[in-house]
Amino acid sequence: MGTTRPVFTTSSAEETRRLGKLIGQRISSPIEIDLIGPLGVGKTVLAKGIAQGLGIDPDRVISPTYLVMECHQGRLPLIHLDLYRLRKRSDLLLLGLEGEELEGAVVVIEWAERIPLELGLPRLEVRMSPTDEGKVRIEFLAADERAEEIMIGLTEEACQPPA
Amino acid sequence: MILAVETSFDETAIALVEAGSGRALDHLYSSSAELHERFGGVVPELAARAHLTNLPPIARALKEKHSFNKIELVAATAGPGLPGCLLAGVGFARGLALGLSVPYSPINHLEGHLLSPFMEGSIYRQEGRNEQGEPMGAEEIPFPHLGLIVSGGHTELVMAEEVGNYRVLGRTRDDAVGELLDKLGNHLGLGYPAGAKLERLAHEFLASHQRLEEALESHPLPVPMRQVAGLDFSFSGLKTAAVRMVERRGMERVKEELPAFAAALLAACFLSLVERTRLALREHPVAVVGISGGVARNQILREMIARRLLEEGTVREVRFPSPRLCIDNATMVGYAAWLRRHTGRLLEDRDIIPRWRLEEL
Repeated sequence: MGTTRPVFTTSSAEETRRLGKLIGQRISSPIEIDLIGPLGVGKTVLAKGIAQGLGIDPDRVISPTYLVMECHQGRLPLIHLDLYRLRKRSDLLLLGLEGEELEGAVVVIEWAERIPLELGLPRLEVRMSPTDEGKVRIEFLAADERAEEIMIGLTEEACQPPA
Repeated sequence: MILAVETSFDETAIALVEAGSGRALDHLYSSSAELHERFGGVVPELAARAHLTNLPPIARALKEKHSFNKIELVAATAGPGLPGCLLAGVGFARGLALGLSVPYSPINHLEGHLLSPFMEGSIYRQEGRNEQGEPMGAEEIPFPHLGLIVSGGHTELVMAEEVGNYRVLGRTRDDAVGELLDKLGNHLGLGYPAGAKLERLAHEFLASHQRLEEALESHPLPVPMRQVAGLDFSFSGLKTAAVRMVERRGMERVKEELPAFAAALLAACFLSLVERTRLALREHPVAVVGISGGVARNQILREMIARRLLEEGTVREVRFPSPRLCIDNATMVGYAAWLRRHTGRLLEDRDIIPRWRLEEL
């Protein structure tokens, strides 16, 4: 288990997207990224940024709530899941989500706390919460070294828009 | 007659459409809404199983009233939708077609919505509103027309050039409008889905106010995309603003003022729909606008958008499907199949397409 728990505070959806983009740019191998936080906190915005960092048009990354899963092709394939509607792990069988589709993919999961999927990938947990000042606190918990590497050297300043 | 099957999401439905006129003959569906109310969300696994369980008895019940010997074509929604759910309906339809020795043809669920305002429903014109009875043939439908599809899974502006030829002008970049309303309603403890409950609350507000937008004075929420060019929609910023308002004011207080909160939420959503559609009409002036999908059931939206679109010089009429054709249903699938058959544009049998876009038809 990694020990670094970087925390960021973003002041706008734009900053959240920028943070996501920086993370996306640093991903070079398959990983599971769990996005955890309340309604409207910016999970899809962060996912859009991660997609952008993988070379995917963020405007095509929509909320996957309705269809539960959206797939995109970037530097690495991106599988964008949303467990808001699901109750149990076997619900995923209906999505046609099988082993080979997960191979080599970056899997971003919104409402990940609802069902632990245990995909067997390096896992980065992202906890998002609104602050009293109307900002968003974003905490990263790397579950292993490969997930931890992504966060090394990432600073809060990097997310600020250029002056 | 044409038999149509719809199982793209949480509704199992079979409809019969007259092969000559395109008229709706009969339909049966088994909504799993009760199931969802108990579990607090839409459950794909249960819904897909429910489709398999529901289809045979629904078909048998229709067979008791109508001779299946008269079926000339079997159609089913092949996308977009949840794979497991689509497979249930398509598999059933293919088997039925094989047994009856008739063709099977896949239909795009969104095309069903898009064409549904021309089957039956309400027409708003400058001079007033008329109910419309008979379904229009492909040669009678006013092409090109503008379609606005608003539902739990989709928010799209579509230029319909002719049957089977559609150009998507704009779509949501994040949440669908119905998804936003359902999620906010669930957040406020109204259950899931929450669209009808929000509408009832907004009507309470309108009992003592002239216009829905007045709610934005006490509950200022942003109208999405006002500062953004183009014809895309976005509802996630409004979702965040609404959740933040609940946090700031406290759930207790918001619940005390729920009619005003609901009215403000609907006002912000509907103004965005109106403004994007007006913008589309300025870029692509057409005489007829058809508004479809589950959110088009909302009477407040109907009145608001019809009135404002008719102010556009080019618009002659604004059409809405009857409420039963707004929600996911098989009748619209049968009507789309009928229109395609009459224009020689029936699609070949193909696998399900869970993310089937209208421009890919």
